[in-house]
Amino acid sequence: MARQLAMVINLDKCLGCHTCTVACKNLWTSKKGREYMYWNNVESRPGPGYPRNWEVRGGGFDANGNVILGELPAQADYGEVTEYNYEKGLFNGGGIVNAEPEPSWGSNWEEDEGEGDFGENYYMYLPRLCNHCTNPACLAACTRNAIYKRQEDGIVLVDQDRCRGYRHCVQACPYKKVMFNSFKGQSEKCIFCYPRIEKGKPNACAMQCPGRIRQVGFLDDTSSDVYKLAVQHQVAIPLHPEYGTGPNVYYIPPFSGPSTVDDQGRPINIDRIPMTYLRSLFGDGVDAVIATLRAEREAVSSGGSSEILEVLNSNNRYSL
Amino acid sequence: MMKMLIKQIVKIMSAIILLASVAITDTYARGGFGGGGFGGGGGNGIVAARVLGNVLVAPDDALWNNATARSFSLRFVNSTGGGGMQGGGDGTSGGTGGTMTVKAIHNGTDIAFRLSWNDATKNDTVNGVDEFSDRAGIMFSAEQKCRMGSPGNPVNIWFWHAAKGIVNNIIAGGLGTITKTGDDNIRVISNYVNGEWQLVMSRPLLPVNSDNQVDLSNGNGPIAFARWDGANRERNGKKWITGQTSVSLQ
Repeated sequence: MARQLAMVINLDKCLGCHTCTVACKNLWTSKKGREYMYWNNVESRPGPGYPRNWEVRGGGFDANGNVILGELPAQADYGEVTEYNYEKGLFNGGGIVNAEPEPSWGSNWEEDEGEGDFGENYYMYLPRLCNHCTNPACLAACTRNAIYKRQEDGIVLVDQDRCRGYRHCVQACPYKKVMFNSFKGQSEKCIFCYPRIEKGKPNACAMQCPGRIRQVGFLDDTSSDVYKLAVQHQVAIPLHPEYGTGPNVYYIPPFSGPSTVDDQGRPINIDRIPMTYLRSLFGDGVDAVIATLRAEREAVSSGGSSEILEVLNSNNRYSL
Repeated sequence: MMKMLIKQIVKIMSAIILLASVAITDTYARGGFGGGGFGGGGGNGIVAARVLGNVLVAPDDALWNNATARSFSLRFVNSTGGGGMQGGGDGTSGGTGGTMTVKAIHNGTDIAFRLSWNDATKNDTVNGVDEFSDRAGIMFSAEQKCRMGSPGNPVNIWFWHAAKGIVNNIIAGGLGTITKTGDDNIRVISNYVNGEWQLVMSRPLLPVNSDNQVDLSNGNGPIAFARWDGANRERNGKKWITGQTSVSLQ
């Protein structure tokens, strides 16, 4: 029986601190050819994201189930690889530590920009990693059968002995989470920290998160928080379900506050983040999730209890 | 009675087909892909000229004057989208492929092929996800059809990768099955001159490992050539191929 590991990310609690990204980078993508890669990244949304404009590059499946080869991003869309000139800045009279060469684009380049004019500006943080899809487009596009999905936990991996660097997977992944190592000439991606998972430890991104916004577990484990949030109560939903790949990273949509105040300075109860924007990310199902979360909050504030909020506020990070 | 007769005919026919296929297989096996079958330089076959000394020489070396050039027109194929894949916007045919010009020489121990073809852009570095290398290959085959082989009838490929600057020895038994064998005894010298790639690949006539390499001491056939234009993002089954030919030794 095939099992599926999943991750729930509570966007309400994301601080945008990028500790997840740094944990992943240090563990997996510091070696040659991977300098530019962020298997995990955090984007300020609305914004072009990483790689730049990944949402409009295509990929996934069409209505007939045929895999779509999207546009290959340019290397510049991931941003330049830079080094800080500590030697010059700290010890040789430079006075200032700079990134060299001076970057013009990179992961989270658009930090905190968001959208809307002053006073009504809004943004949210969106941590992203490989979705370890139920129906991975990268796997479908590989002519080498180099990509496989593990039966025991659903983790999607690139067999480095078979990969020949054709990059059809990079094109087909609608989330653009398969990346090309030009030093090795092969494609690489998030491995869902399988060596840690196999030892009963959660992914580095989940373990290191100061806000403990990530929970990891098996979708069929009824005792896991992942099961409770994604399956039982269905308040965790995938990003861009319309791509048709069946993502297994689920998000608790952000519960946004009022957007502005009236002439007396009192908050006006209009969602700061427009629902139209959340629907563009998570589909129409996000309305029901927000309604459920609002009802649960009201139940608790009027003296009741809520299993959903208890799970969301717990310190649990994994059930493996 | 009638039924029995039909059964008998079917049996006889099967036996004939079986014998014929055995005979074909046997010809290749005994002949080492060569014998008289590919000799004589008849048709458009390549004749490896007998020379003295080292055959791994630069593409502009005078030694190549000993060999007769054969030119083969290149045809664009795309077997990448076989699984119903759509889109991509890359790797489509960029006009006509021109020709692949081939010469061969041998010294009784080693054989060398000289391939040349026009390519307006030199792509011998891959510095990012959006860059692809020029590549070229020779496919040696043990079966009648030169289409990436099939299970039980593998092909042997010399595969040159401009960015890596090496030639890999590859075997394949059908689409999507190419496998590097690690028998990297194929030497290479490449030049890019005036919009033309000139590539010399050389190997001992005898295989280092007969499971992974064809024996070339009696020639070989069918063989075919291919090239990939990195600027056009050609890779995998998107490539320019020649028709089938053969190589024989002078």
